[in-house]
Amino acid sequence: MPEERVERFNLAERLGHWSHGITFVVLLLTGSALVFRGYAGLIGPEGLRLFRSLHHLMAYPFTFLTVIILLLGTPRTVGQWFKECLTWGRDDLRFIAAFPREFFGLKVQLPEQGKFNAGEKLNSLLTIAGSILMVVTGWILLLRDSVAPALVAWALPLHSAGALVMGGVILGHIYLALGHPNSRESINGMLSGKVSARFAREHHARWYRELQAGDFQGKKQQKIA
Amino acid sequence: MARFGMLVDLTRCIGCYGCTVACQARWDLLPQVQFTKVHRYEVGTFPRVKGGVVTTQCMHCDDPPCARVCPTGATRKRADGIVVVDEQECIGCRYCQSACPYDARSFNPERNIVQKCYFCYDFVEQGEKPACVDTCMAGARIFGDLEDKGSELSRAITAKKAVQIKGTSIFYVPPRNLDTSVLPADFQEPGAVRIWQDIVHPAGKTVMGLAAGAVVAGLVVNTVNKSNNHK
Repeated sequence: MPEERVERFNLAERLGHWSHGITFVVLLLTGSALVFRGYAGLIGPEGLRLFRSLHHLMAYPFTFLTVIILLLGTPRTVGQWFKECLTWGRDDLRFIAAFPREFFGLKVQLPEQGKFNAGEKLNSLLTIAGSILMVVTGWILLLRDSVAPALVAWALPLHSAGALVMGGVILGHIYLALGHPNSRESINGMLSGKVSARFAREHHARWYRELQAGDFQGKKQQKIA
Repeated sequence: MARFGMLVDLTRCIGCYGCTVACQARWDLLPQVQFTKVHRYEVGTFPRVKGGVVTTQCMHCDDPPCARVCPTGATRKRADGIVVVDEQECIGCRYCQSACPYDARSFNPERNIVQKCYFCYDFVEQGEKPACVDTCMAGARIFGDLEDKGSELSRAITAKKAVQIKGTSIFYVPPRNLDTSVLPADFQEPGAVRIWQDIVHPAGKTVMGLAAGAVVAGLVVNTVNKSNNHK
């Protein structure tokens, strides 16, 4: 019997995730070369000019594409995602406190989580805030002739700082999605959109219960109709 | 080794723009690009008003922030004190423009590079004077070796009681009867550059390094756990 699977992310959510993720990685790789001389030296001036064009080109999808996909494709789930990211309870704080042990593969009891666990909520908030910072400072740098020179001068350290912090976060994010034995099934949610019912139950118990209740409600309504 | 510098005698400068134009011709610059600029100023309130001119250019700073931020190393300070831009290596990122405390760098939109005063290093290497010095009809500009106490420059600095803009290779003889507030300020590295280079980059590399280390540690622990469980 095939394993029971539940839908975690719809197509627009997945496309939004990947448009943001892929453009961010390209921006990080090309952008780092534009500030670290050791890296720049490996590529040479010609390569660096290409990296710079690529960096500027990627600014467009990074700024607009994800937002367009999410807001046109799935405004309702985006709203739910925002709401959940901004709702923090005691279980969330306990999850964050216990999570480092889980990250390093040590035994730990994690509190029950909703559709997004506290780590995912924190990652979402960091990504949203960080991306806004990168977009604002990045466009200041692109449009430097139309803004005050002092603004350009301060946009440079802020742009670097945002990139490097988000770069650190994305390393952990990729590891949890691909390399961590307990959480790596989550990648299926971003590839096919579905995860096993077992994974949903074990990692997002509160969400799984809500899903079941919703299903039950749906079936009941069908019967009445 | 020589260490080149320049003196501008503002008591002799008549604001004729000869230096600006000679430099533009020498380096074949776009009309809007000027390596050496002439600024007119007025101080006091009517009827007691005084005015004059101050010329500015790249100050060839001792520790130039433009060279610190340059990702390709195109901007560098030579052993003889001249700050140069290798125009072949410049990718036009314009970080140096933001880093320069003296607004002495110009972006060339046609070639997509940043340019500035080079102290005419190729003339100087042939024993000639920079174009601005050569052309100055008032003799307000003196170029030379600061290390050589007998050079025309060193002698003029002493004789004219010239003021050095601290941290740079440029000296001025202040305008008559005016204080030095009209001169460019002593060198100070812009705060944004200091934070960018000394705090953000090392801290950012540390954050990335710690994250990478945590991932490796996580992978190792989880692999060990897995093989223990199999046993």
